Amino acid sequence: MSAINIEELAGAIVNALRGELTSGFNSVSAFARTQAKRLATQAALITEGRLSGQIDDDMLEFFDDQLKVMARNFARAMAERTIITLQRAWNAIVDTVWSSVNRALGAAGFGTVPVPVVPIG
Amino acid sequence: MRLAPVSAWSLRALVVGIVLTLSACNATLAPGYDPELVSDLNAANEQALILFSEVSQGASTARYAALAPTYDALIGKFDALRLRAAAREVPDLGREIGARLCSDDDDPSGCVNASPGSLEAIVENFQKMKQNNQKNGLTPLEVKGLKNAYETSIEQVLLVETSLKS
Repeated sequence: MSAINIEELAGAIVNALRGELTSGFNSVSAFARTQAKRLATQAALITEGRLSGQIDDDMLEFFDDQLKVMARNFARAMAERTIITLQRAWNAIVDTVWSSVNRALGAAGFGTVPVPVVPIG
Repeated sequence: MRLAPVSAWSLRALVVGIVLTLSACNATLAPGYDPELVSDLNAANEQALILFSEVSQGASTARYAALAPTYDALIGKFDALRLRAAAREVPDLGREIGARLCSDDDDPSGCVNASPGSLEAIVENFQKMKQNNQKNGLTPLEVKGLKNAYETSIEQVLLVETSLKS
């Protein structure tokens, strides 16, 4: 009989994933809503400034360019946050599996297996 | 910049590549968490918001001389933070994933180290604010637009940097 309870381990993996993915999704969705509102606000301010003459031509041109940069950086931040969620999800799975393997090996009097780390760079 | 369209094939290849590379390994895809960077960001953010509060009703050219040292301090601080964020090592695998998400030759790491781009936008925002304050003065609506642009960028940086903390 296996020293690892497969049902229990599968459940632990799902729980670890649920925590990481839920927190990642909540963080990204709240951020996306706020950023979308800020972009819409900026577009409205630019229009108001153009119609009322409260923003000079030089500044209007800057705001137009800046709006594109804001949108690009919003997309980049979303992409990086998604990559961070992927990293956390994967590590949650690996940590759960390796802990289980090492617990089983330890209980049987064997040494533990180290969790290898991907070298940076 | 437009995000690169990802075909079904390349997405499958990407996922298979990630799985093969990461199997049985702890993965590092994004740059490391830098607590000093986050602490300095919070301090600079506080200073920036104080400035926006001081000029919320606009700022005439006559007020420029008094405000110039604050502009210079903020430009210097955020530019130093940009350099610090840009100098961090980006793991190769993360760089590869980021490059597939973004097709930007100017900044191929932009989707896996997004903070330097947002910090650059903040620096340009304060440079423009300083320049216009000196030249024509700032109307309340211009300050509102500059503040909204600033807050958009600083939120991007804070979201990413605090998310890096495991």
